[in-house]
Amino acid sequence: MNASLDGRYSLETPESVELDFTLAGPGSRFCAAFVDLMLVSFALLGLLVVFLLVIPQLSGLTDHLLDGDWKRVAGLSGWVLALLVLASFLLFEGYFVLFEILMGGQTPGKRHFRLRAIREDGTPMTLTDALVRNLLRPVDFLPFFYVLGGLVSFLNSTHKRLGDLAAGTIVICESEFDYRGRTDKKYEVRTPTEVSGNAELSPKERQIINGFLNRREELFPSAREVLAEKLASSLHRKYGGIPGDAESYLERLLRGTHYEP
Amino acid sequence: MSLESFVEERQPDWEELSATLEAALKKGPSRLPEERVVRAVHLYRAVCADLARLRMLDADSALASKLNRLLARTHSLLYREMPRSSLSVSEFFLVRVPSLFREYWRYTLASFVCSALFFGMAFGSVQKHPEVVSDIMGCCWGDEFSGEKESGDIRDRFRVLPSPVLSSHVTTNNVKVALTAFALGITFGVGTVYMLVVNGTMLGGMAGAFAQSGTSYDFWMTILPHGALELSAIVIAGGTGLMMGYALWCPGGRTRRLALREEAEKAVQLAVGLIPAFVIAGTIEGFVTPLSGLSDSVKVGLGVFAAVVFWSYLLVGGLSDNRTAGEDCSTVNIQ
Repeated sequence: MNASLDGRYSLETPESVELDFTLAGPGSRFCAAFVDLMLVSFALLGLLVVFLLVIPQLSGLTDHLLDGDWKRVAGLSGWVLALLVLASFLLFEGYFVLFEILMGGQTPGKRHFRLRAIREDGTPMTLTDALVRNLLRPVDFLPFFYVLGGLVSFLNSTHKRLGDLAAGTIVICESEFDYRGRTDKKYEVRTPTEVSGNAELSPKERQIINGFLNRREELFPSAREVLAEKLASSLHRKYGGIPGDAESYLERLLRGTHYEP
Repeated sequence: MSLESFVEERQPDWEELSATLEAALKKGPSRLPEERVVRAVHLYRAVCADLARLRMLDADSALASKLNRLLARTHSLLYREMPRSSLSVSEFFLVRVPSLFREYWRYTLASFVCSALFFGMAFGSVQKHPEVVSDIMGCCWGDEFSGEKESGDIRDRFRVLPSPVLSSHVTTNNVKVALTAFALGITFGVGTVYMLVVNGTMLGGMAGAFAQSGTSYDFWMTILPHGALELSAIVIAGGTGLMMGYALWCPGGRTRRLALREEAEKAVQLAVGLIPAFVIAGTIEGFVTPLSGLSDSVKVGLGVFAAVVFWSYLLVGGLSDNRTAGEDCSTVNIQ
């Protein structure tokens, strides 16, 4: 188990294969927390409206009010208020724990930003983990809106806030799990490029060029252009030849025909 | 074998696992037919081997990272912490909570000593120098207790109507205090100790002020019915924060991080286990303490009875069960 600088988190599975998870940074987590906080606030507001407008109607509270039956009003509104206090407490304290258990480490905010909290060993959280993680949330929140938690997560390699440290959890970014490509949804076996084409190229270089040529259709046009330019110029410095169009140069270089136009 | 024929040969398996995963995520893993799950476990292992092979060949990094994503997602579905021998709610409260308390009673003792110390100090200083009351309790309290008070006044001050609002407010507030005392353990216990100090000082100052004005009896008659249970639970909750704090100061043979994680797991269970006690204390405070028709001895008797039941539950609860609290089931199991 270790984390590297580029936000990857490697985990050795019982099958002795290292799996890489992408750690979620403080930024996206901050956004998710903001969405969740808004949702809780709206829910509380809704609760308040229901309790103030709807329940009195149902329980005949308003009738007693109009009749001037103050004793009944006091008795009834007491229970209504007590319920309101309990419900808002449960909503405020239970929102995160409840959703993280029901949605497997996600809350609506986390789902929107495709984040998920999991245990360090890659397994889903248990109820105890979710409790520790979320009961420490108010401490991370100090002095206002996750300043302490944000600082702590900036300072440690796996972006853990205090709750994550105590619970042993990490928050990962969920990428598309589909192994198939984005555009064609199918991993195409490309027409085999002649491996023996250019003996000058090292295997690593050949792999990089091949990797680019295979993926170029999936890239944004601007990124594709920049990448091709970068690759071609550095390879051209080493191997020379007629530069021409960057991508065609890479193709020709792979075949060993980079001196032909 | 060339990369191309390797891909060609293994591709169907990757697609199948991908499709199974998609179905599992959409419908929930428990809805999948059993043979498909068994097949998925088999596929998962095979694709793991494929990934290892691809990486060894250092062949196609795009493909490798695609397989990695597929496996990472499957991994979290296939593996999960073995449920703690499927602890039911009743088992948790009847067996696990009391045995956790017995295992970690020292922290409760420490929390009690800390609270009692500051209770005593505040009580003593108010007795000696009545003017410090305002320093301890804030300005308004000093005025309240400056003059001689009739015992009836004090009663009136605390007399509220029996009410569900009071009850739910007190309960949620106490639960919040208890959970905060736990959470502040992360500050190396400093925050928890601060809460205990404030709590002990306030109570001591109040008791001292009432004693000063000769109304101790009324004070304790108002506090004890619910306070015996409530204060016990608060002291234990303080202990859970100290557990985490102590683990951070003295992790022993573990890394600080591991010590914190292990102790936090137990501390949170103990802290959550106190919630029923707060509900009962809150019910007494909201409905019994303010009753004017009930004599003091009945109220206090009820409060003391509740506290005795609570403590004997903590001391002997689940003793016959041979599962110990410290038992760790960290084994990971394919379900």
